Amino acid sequence: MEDLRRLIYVPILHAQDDAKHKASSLPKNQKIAKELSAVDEMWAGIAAKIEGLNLPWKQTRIYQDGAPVCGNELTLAKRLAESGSPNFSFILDLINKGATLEGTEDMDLLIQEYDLLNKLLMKSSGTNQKAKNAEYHTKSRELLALRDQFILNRITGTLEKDELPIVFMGVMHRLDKMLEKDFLVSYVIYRLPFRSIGTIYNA
Amino acid sequence: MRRKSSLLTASPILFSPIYLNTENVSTGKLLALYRFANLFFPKMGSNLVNTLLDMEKHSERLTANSSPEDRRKLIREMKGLSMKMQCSINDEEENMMDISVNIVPSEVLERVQQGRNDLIEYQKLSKDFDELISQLITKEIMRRFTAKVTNYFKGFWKSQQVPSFITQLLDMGWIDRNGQLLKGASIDELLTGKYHKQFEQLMPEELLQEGMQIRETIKTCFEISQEDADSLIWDAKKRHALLEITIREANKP
Repeated sequence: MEDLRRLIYVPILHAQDDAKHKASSLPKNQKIAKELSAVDEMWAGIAAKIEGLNLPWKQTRIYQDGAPVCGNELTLAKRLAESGSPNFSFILDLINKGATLEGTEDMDLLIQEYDLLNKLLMKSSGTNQKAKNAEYHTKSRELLALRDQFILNRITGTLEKDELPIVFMGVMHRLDKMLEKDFLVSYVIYRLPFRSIGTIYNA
Repeated sequence: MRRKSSLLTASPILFSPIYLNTENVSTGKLLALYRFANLFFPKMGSNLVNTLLDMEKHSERLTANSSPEDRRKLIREMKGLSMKMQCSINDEEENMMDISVNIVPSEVLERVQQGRNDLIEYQKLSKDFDELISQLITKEIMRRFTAKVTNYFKGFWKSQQVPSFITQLLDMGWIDRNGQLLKGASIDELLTGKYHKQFEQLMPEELLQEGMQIRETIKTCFEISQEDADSLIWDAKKRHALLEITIREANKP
């Protein structure tokens, strides 16, 4: 029987400076500083752990949540890093070490997500907003499943022989479960798939 | 100590109380239980929960195949009927979990007919489930980390000169003479709190780093699981901004 190929999976929290607005009793400045530091610590932790893996960077292919197949993946990563994304800044560091960034997502599906967000963010009354939030949750979950399927095909279709894939994916994705058929998935940080009741039964 | 979740206060029409004794549950046991149930009662557990959740969320879809007249007839016929399903799980005679589901079919259908598809109730219940699970996972991760720390502490007892910090922890009642971390000990105080410096001197860097990652991951994931509507909108705005850049840049010739 053929050995499964190793795949490094990094579950990420889409936490940039967004975390700072979460509810807390701390004064605003303190809250921002505390939560920014938590996000920084998280990325420092991921970086240290990945560093410790001593990966063969020149044979490493990166697959990144939100990075579409578009032909100018590197320029886009630079632009997103400049806009303040610690995730993409870290990806650039890995590229500098010799890793390759692969276009990962279907552009059409990302546009659909963008449209869904547009709809959610349109102003409406309190009751309507609740219904809109619920609708968003349902539709975004469906879209996520389609995105995961595309990414899975992308990984299996683009990975060269002897290359090592490293996948950065938001915690809401269930891609890791799909990858387990073809790869031996090693997690870089702890996986806590408890956001939805469904995950217990699909685990 | 028995933890009573807010499910206890939920409307009893569709759901009845779930009692969970968190002191007596670990994810290891739940996983074993889940595997057992999958072997002997394949799909029963998932179907049961999915049906319950679907009943709240998609009841209209589930009953779409029957005509309004059929539904009215069914409601009349089912008046007074109620279904009770009781599931109790014990660990060495100690009660771990009780799930008592109480369904009144005519009430369910009446709600559908009146278009009272209660999404808010569904979301509340779903959130409660998530919180229960997240508590179990936190507990299990802390248990695993505690086991690792205990292994190191055990090693110190074997050495000729026991470090003073270990003796201090023993005096405080945080560890026993086997190096076992006791209930009163706070991992947080060791990792980042009052005893951080002494702990750092004794423990290997790798273990400390792992502890910090566990701590931060749990903390952040808790924040996520407790998101309110405002933070959903805020997150949506940030994601929207990122996608805007992505779509614009990706479409550049």
